[in-house]
Amino acid sequence: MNTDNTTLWRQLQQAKLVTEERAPEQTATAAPWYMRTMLAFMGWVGALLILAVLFSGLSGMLKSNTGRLGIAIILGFTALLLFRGKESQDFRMQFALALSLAAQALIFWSLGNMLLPQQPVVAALVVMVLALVLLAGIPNSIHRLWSAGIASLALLYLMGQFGMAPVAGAILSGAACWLWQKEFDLVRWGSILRPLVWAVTLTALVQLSGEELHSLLQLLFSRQSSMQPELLVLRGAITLGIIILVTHTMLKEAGIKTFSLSGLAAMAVLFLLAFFIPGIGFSLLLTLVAFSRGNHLLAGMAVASLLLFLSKYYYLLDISLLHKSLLLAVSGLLLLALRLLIMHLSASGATK
Amino acid sequence: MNARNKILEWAEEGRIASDQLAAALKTCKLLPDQRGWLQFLDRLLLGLGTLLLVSGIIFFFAANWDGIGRYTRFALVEAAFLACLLLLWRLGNTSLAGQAALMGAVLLTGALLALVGQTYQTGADNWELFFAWSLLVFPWVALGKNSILWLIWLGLINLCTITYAQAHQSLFWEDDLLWLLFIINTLALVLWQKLADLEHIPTDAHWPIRILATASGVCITLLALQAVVDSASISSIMAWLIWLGTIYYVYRRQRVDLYILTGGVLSIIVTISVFFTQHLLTGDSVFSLVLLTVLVLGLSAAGGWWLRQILEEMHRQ
Repeated sequence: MNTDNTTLWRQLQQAKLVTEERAPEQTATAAPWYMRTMLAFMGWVGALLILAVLFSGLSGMLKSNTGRLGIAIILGFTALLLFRGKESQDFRMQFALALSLAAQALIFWSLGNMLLPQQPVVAALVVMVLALVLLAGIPNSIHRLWSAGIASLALLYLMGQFGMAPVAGAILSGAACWLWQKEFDLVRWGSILRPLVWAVTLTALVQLSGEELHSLLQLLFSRQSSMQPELLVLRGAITLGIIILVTHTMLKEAGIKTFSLSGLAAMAVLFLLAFFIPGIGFSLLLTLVAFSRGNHLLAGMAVASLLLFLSKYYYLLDISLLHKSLLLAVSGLLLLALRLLIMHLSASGATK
Repeated sequence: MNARNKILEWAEEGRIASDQLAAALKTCKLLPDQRGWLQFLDRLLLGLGTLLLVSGIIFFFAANWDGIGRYTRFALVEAAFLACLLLLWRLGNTSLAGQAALMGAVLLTGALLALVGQTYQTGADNWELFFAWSLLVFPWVALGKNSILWLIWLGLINLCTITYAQAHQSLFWEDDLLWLLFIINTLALVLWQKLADLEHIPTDAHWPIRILATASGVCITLLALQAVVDSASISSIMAWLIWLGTIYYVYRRQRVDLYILTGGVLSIIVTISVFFTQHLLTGDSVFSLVLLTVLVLGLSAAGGWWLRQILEEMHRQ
């Protein structure tokens, strides 16, 4: 919904939520997602071309780590100056983005040469810290999203290195849901935190789509699992904790008591889905959080990921088609029963 | 910038206290109230629950398909088909559930035709399945007045064309298929836009027109790229230029659709970049690469600047 500043400000004034007399001046209009995607893509192409130029003209310097890092520092510093210029000009921003991406590519290449394969943890830590510094320091939304993505992937890699891969999906998806719910409390750092939460959300979806579910589903059908028991318990505890934390707030907003029949039923259904079919469970939880925060873009993405996980599930070959069908049908019946319960209780006024 | 993002920006600047932010969004009706929640939960749980249950039933039959006899298979699919028609009759075409039932009937028509082909081994090509499917469901799609159904039907026409070309490769030159797809999707776009202008179809949803414009744009851009790479006939380039001019006139002068204009800008950048890559990267490679880099960044910046001017203009109106 596009509404001018004055109308919105007047509504807030009438509700005594703002003190200033006049609405703020209209700032530069934020570009829609497809424009930013196009510009980000062209920034990437530009970065690849800059790297090609460097390889052609300075191939000697690029052979050593010192040379690469030296060029990366020059490129990065130039990019920083361009990003922090007083006026936002499209060519300058595009050029800065391409230079920064090229500089980061050279740094990652050098880090890889120096630290891999002996010290992968140190390499990932350095990458994560560098990405977080760039996230905070470079005032460009596309660049922030890129840096946040790198930081999230580095974190995911570190979790894998410490044996936490089986619970990484639960941790990241839980963190994403909780952070989206806290969006209003952390709004003062919104321009930095929002790209980070988007990156964590997308990384969680990637992790969940790559996870092997057979160990969880085996548990359901054969009471055995190839996942270590302590990791299984940890995953269950993390999932339960997140469900309670996130759902409690939403139930309050919906006027449903947390420990009422419908509240407990909702939490139980969400937990079962999130534990046994994490992709679908997390996407559903994210849809609810997005709706509660009025974030239509996030809600649309969550619904799309829900449908994609459902399609992906069809190709999951680890359990039989019959078991898959039973799981889907029972999940569907549970959701329909939950709907009936909520509608019946709200109609009879039992939710208040 | 939409209202939600504006209010979040003001809160970030400290103009709204962070503990008042939720109240501010509720005041501007940007957060759901209890009624909104119940409505949302009703639709979400109904839609998702039905989808999971139906998927489970379909998987169940797939799991036991080999053990099911020929007549039972037909009975199952036809029973589902008749159930959709019964629901449509009871609920009517205007309700959401009725529209979902009609969509189910359209999709099950294809399932029934596929079952016929599988069971009786008629030797029919894939294109004949898609052709028969699109022909049989056309009356329902026309009467349904549902954008999704029309797009599904156009998808079938596209699939029919592609599979026909695959089955008759000797009849087609290299880019004939792309030309056919371009013509089909562009005609659909023109017709849809015309009907929208005459208000014979809902005008508040832009997405069907954008999907058709994307399909048309991808085809003509691929044709232009082929002409650039192979130094082939000039007709593709001429068609591409005419397409760009028409897109500019219709979606910049007559009305404004920033998505379609963004697609047009991307098409220009990609085609010109490929053209110069073909013709520049021959001699002195470093200088050529520098020129190419400046060109690509310059074009994308110029495109971004132009689109931003249009965006500002849209928000001033």
